[in-house]
Amino acid sequence: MPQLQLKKKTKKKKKQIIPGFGLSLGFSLSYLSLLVLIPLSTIFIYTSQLGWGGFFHQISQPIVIAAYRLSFTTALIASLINLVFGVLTAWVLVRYSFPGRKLIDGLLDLPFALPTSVAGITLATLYSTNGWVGRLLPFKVSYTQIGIIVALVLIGMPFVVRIVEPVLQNMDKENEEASAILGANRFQTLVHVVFPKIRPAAFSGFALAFSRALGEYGSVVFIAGNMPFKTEIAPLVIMQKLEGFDYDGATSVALVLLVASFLILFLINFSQWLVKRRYVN
Amino acid sequence: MSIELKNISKSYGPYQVLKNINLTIQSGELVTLLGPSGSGKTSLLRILAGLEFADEGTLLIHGKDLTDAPIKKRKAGFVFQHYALFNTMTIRENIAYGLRVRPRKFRPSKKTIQDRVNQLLHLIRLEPYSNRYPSQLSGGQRQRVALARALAIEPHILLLDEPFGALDAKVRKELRQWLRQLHQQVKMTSLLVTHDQEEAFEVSDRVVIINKGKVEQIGTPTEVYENPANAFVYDFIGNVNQVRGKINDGLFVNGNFRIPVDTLDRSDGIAYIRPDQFTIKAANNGPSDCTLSATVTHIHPVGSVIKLELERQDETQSIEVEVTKREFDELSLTKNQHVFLEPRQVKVFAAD
Repeated sequence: MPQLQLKKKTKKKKKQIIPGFGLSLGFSLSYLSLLVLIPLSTIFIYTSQLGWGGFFHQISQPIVIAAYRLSFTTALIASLINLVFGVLTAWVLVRYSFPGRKLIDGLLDLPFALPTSVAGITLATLYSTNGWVGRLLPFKVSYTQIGIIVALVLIGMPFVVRIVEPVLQNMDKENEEASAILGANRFQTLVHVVFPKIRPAAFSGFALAFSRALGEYGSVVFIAGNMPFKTEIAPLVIMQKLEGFDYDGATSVALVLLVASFLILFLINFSQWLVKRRYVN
Repeated sequence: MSIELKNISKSYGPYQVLKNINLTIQSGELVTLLGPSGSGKTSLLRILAGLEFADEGTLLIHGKDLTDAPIKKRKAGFVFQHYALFNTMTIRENIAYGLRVRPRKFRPSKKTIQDRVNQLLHLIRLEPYSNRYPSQLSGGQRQRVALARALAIEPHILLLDEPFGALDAKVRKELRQWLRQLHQQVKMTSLLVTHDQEEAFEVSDRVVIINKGKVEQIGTPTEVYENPANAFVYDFIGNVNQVRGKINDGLFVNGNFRIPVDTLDRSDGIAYIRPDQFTIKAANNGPSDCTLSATVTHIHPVGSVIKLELERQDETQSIEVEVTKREFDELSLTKNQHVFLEPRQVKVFAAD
């Protein structure tokens, strides 16, 4: 009889090979809640007290709309630049060996480590009309929208490189050799064989760089000049509203950024998941 | 299209992988490069395909010097061990790839490409799978797709690099037979690389035994098996018993076992005897010094061929013998029985 009972018991509970599932999951979830979910949800809760009317009133002010437009376009341009040059950089770092390769590889992480305000001040000085680089350029960079893009390119640089790098590393050369033997030239091999393989990773990196650029504040405020309607980004609008104790305005503007970031991340990852699902088991 | 390799040599740094390879493959022939891993056989194949270049020597395909020609000029079909299919393309797209990437001038019309792909899908018997992705196919199916993809460009030569190496035994056997049939249909000059001698013997017209970057022997499977050119080939092809002894006055001697040899040089020698080249006798009635007297230590009684392990009585050496089931039953051998082994064929090579 006792044997029979034992059997029943083991049948009920699915066997876990790796121990500690409950504990580790519980810890991760509460950690995530405390640091991410709860703070973010307060933005929703606070904004919802305004009602739809109040919310739309807050986000439809011309100065806010101008800031959104600026934030989205600069973030998009910057992350597109990062997409192209990130893939190129990853390619160079993985495919060729040259002196200083490891050093460049390490330098790539600097934008993550550098305090963004330091990056902003440095860029602003370098690219100002009297700066080392700005002097050589026929157009103004600092205190214009181009300056914002420069700052956003810098802070978003590592994302694409770091995500594409391992994919390139794991890609076997045989596929490219097969393509060459079948008569394809180098360009065709890149377009038909290499790019489809790194595309999901590249887009993930792009999405991350874009979200980061959308919310970037520290480096941009120093180089942008912050002229309302011209070079004032959305995060700065939030900051100013907070300084003026306009919490309704601040959370409303923040909510739009939050939802937009989330949607972009979701859409890009979902579309790449759809593509990948077809050919990866 | 014939292939001619003259004095091909290749080194990677200080390590020479190919030493003066000379090889001619007739048009329509299927030749196998057989050798242990690291023997340089894959390097030779890659040099043929243009993926690597020889340091010295000449490569002629159909009489044309293509030693330094780029990959494209060689019109080679290549099948990789791990298929190297394009995972992001369907089976149909994979097969059509070689035709689709041709310069506009030489590119067939869409309709022609479709027809050609359909024809190849029929050939590899995978028509229902044409719109699947490689990850949805089994290993054997993937390798068939890889072969169809290689054939789509109507190559002059077909190169196969251990094409069945990653497959399980049963599928490997099926594909082998299928390849043989396919080759009979299309009669394309083919070079196959393998380390599996059974595979080499089953599919090829001729076998090239290669070791440490050197050609050891070239011949039909029968020639190579029946008449190995040297000790390495004897050892590498099939199971073999090695008896180490001394050569003296035209006689090879080891224990009570002595047989006449051609050479009069005094040296150490090794006698090679295949397990199936023994006649087992319960009593010794021939010239006694040409037989080995031994005791049965183990019998593997399963299969059409019975494998016996015996221990020599004059020396400590175990001998492997294979007899047919019928012979075995007639002799009614038992364990620990004492018998005499009369080799029907012995080959002695000087030991190095």
